[in-house]
Amino acid sequence: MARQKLPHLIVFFLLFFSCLSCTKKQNDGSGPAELRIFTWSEYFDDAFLRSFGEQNKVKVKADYFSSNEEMLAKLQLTDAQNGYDLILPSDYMVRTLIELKLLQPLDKAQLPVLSEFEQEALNPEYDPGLGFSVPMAIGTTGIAWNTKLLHKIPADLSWKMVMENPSYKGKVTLVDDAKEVLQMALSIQGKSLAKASEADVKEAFAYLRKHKTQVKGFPAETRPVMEGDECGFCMAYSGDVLSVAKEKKEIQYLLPKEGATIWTDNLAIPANSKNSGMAYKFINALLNAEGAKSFTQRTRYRTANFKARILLPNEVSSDKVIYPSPEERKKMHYLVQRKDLNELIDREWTKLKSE
Amino acid sequence: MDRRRLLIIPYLLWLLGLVAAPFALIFSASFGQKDEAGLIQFGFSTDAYRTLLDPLYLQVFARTLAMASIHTLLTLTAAYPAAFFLSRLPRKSAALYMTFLLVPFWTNYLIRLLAFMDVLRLAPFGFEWTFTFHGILAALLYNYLPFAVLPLYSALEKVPSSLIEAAQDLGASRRRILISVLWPLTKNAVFATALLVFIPALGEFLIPELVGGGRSYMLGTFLQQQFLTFRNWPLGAAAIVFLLLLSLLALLLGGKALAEEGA
Amino acid sequence: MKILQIYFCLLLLFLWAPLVAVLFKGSAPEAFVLLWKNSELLLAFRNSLVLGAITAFLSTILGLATAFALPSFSPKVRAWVTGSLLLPLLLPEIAFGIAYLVWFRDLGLSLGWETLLLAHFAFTFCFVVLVLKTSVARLDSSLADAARDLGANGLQVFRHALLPQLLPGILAGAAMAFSLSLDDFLISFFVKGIDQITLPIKIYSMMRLRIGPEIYALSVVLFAISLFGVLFTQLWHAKNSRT
Repeated sequence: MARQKLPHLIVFFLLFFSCLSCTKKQNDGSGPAELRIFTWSEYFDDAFLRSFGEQNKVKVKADYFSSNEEMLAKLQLTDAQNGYDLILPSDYMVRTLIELKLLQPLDKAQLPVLSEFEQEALNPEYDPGLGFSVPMAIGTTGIAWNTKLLHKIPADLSWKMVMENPSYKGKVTLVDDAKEVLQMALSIQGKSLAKASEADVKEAFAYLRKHKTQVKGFPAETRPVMEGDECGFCMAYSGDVLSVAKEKKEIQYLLPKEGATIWTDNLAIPANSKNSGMAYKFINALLNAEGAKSFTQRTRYRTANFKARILLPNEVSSDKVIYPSPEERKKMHYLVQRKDLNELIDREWTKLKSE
Repeated sequence: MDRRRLLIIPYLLWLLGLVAAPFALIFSASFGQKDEAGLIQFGFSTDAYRTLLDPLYLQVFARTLAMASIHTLLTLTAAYPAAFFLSRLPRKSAALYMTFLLVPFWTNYLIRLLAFMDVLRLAPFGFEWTFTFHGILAALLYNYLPFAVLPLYSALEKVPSSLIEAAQDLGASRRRILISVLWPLTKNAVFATALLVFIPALGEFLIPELVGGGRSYMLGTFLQQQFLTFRNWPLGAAAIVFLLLLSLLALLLGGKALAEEGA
Repeated sequence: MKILQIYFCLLLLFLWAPLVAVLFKGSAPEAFVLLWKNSELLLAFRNSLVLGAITAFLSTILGLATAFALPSFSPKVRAWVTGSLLLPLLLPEIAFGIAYLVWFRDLGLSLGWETLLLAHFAFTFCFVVLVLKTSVARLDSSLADAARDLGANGLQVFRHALLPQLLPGILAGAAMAFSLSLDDFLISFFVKGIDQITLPIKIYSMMRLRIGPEIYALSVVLFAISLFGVLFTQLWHAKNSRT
């Protein structure tokens, strides 16, 4: 019986391989030029990618990741053949990528759009002089307040109040990010991540453990939690809050007294990119005045393009959440990479979540 | 008969090329050290294992084992009666009912989970389910139930109704039948199913994360942290090796059961 | 028995209830319009269907081969083989994903459909063998012997005497492989190339935003396909059974 089965197995194999080749048809690497983008999902409109592709006679291919670290892992393990032309690292990840020499230095001559950028954005701490990255979306991490669950809040809301006031017990959620939460705790104690010592970090986490009963959880995705009325005070990203607030009137974005984290998602070109010229064109198209304006309108995140701000309708350009005032801006800090503290933070974070 | 043995070749290729290889990589990675780039410097160092022996991390293992055990017990208890019910039906009806059991699983896992979470958020039976331990158990049950019913059904089907009827005629209570008739005949399958349900649950991270809201720190969460966020791959690899050893232990204990089941 | 029937129905309710909302939301005509317009999602859907089908096919054929080979070995070997089939379950997906990426790279493979298929085959094969192993073990060889005595050749014996008995097992195994492939995110993320956008990858990426109605509409389509598949096999089975 087995004797008869073998030829049939061979036939099946042939069928299988021929099936495989018909799906391969859509994967022709040798064809028109490609622009390979590795990105978060919410930023690029299908329509935009398609029109860019048509205008520049290039095939735009987008691949998605859901965390900076996933992106880094994939980037490090793939060679030039499978690489990308444009990636979207967050600010601290840009620093890491620069140190790992995974990025191409930017040729400013090919980025005329930078002349439309605000002065302040041209020299961030994580990438001085924008040697390797171009800021795209600029957001903050603050508090989403659900008026349905917590009717009255004091005028001067602070993280300290959120973490210590017993009437908020069990109604607070924090983001699932060790550094964000640490920064928050440090700011309550008047310190910052940039200058923190090991003792400061330990103290901050001890504080968090002490008040953990306030915290309902560390949800990976804040939007469903906000939409489901599951948190009175939800630590969240500004864009997420604004999106939810569009439909849900009881959600408001607040910046606590101690300040908030400011962060950017940036465009960068990997060192092994094969089509950097097209990448530059893309950056210019995305972030010129018109492009930046529609970007902000769609994603509710501001860009660094000052002309775009002028073009935006009043209700957007005067929105304090999207464009915080200079006083508020002073209280905002980027998250810095503190390699020396990484192991300590890992342990303390595990400890915090375990108990 | 000899020719038939050749058919084992695909399995061998799979085993060597697609199972042994990643395992070997993980194993050697666990003896490496985290380098500057967050990649691995292969070598021989027990750093990772020594870090693992920290009570903090052992606690994570213990908690995960506890969760997986409770979940296994729950799932088996829920699946057994269902499988028994199916086994008393004629083949065709059982197959139909079985498919109804499985069709929900022809949608995407994530959509299923998010839909389930939407239901959980409605606080059925007046309890809070999200951000809780019992919520995680409910979601795990939701996910693993059909996979537990299948093998149990397979085994229970072999138990002839005549046997049960005979026991009933002799005056045995339902409980007696369960203990003296069903259990001895199906205990091997139960062990095998338990393993099938227990072991993957150990590595679960999505459900504790999404449903538990990050409240319960499990092994799966730990691995995500080590491989991605904190980029300590040797530590993650060491944890996996440790997990493997635990699972192999469980496998050996149930291994005898599997040998008899497969015959 | 009555109690058990009620219990089973409650169980079905438990499993189906969350989907009712999904199906409800997805059946709205606007949802279908949005789905139709979302070409990326449709492409991802198609990719996953094809990938799942090929994975199921491959796993089933090779799984069947393995299941047929097993009886010719000693019980001890069989036990070890069965145990080894559980090994992939021990490894969390993230470890698999990263390990495969490194391994495929070392083998000189370029990331694409091949690597994706290899990985999907890898984690579905074990399940399929476990299912088919039982089916093959329970084969009633008397039918096959009778057919051979009557002069049937190998192919006929397989088709008429063995295949009908194996069909439930084959379908169960293939269905399992298909749904496992359809669900995989993490492993696929690491081993795929840029062209391979699968459904889970696309859904995951959309999850950060929100689950739009087009995803519900997609679920309805998936559901319909599987329901159709089930009905089809039932009818075909009924048509082909001689008794």
